[in-house]
Amino acid sequence: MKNAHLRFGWLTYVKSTEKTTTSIRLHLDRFIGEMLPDPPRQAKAHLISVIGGDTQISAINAAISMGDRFMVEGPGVQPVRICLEQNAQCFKGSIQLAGRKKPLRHLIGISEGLASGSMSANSGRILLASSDRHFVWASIAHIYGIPGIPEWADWFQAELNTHRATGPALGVGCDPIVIKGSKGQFLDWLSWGLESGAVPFPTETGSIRWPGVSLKDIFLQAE
Amino acid sequence: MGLLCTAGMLNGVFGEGEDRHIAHWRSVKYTDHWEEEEEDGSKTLHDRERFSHEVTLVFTNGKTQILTHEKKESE
Repeated sequence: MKNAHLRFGWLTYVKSTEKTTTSIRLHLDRFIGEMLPDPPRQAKAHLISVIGGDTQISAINAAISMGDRFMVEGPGVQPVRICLEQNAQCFKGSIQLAGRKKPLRHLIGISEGLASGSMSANSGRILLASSDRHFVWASIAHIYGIPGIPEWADWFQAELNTHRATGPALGVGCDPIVIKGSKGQFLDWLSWGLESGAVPFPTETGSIRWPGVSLKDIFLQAE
Repeated sequence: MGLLCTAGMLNGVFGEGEDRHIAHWRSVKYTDHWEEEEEDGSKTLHDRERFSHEVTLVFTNGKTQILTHEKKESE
């Protein structure tokens, strides 16, 4: 397993007032965000997961509530200014480590859009925490209600590439992706696929069982 | 039956020949919005949310169909 400094990113928070400047730097074990098109370089954060001391985590929690901005960097993510924006939700927990008197505190912040599911079928774009083709196909079929079988994941991945229906997303500890399209579009692809024979129709009659997906499958495991 | 359908328990491959298809059920939230203008000129906005079933079918020949409580839609 790689050391934490190779797997984790950093979340930095700087707050300046007239008299004092507060600077907090925490380990960031998971992050999902989207780059904003307009300069300067900044991103809309959808999920942050940080670990630290009690005071630090409380400060980050308060900063999220106030809509403050942070700096994020990590493996594969160049330093970028991020914000969870208004109505973000926070969840706190403790991690007891052997040999430490005090537990570490863990904070997960989720943007309003991700928490409420407003980035869903109606918006024409979906943010998924993993770009694994099986997970993407299963998620799209479930969210949009597309009839299909798990074996069509490769075909759907090829269609997404052909139609350039994917967008990049920033990720630490995971490999998120943005899928663009509507139910009508996806059904058109499927219709054409069946008509042309690119998609084989299942020969057996009966219910369709999709393989279960756990958080361990979605979030990259430490190597 | 409705719960079984929208839970995905009845998603599957059905029928024979030209009628052979895959069905996928889901629960969809609909929001009705309407406005009422009162005699004093004030306006009352109404939003009513309700859930309904939707089943999407895809046939062997590529034809797709979305069935809801409102109307049939052929594609």
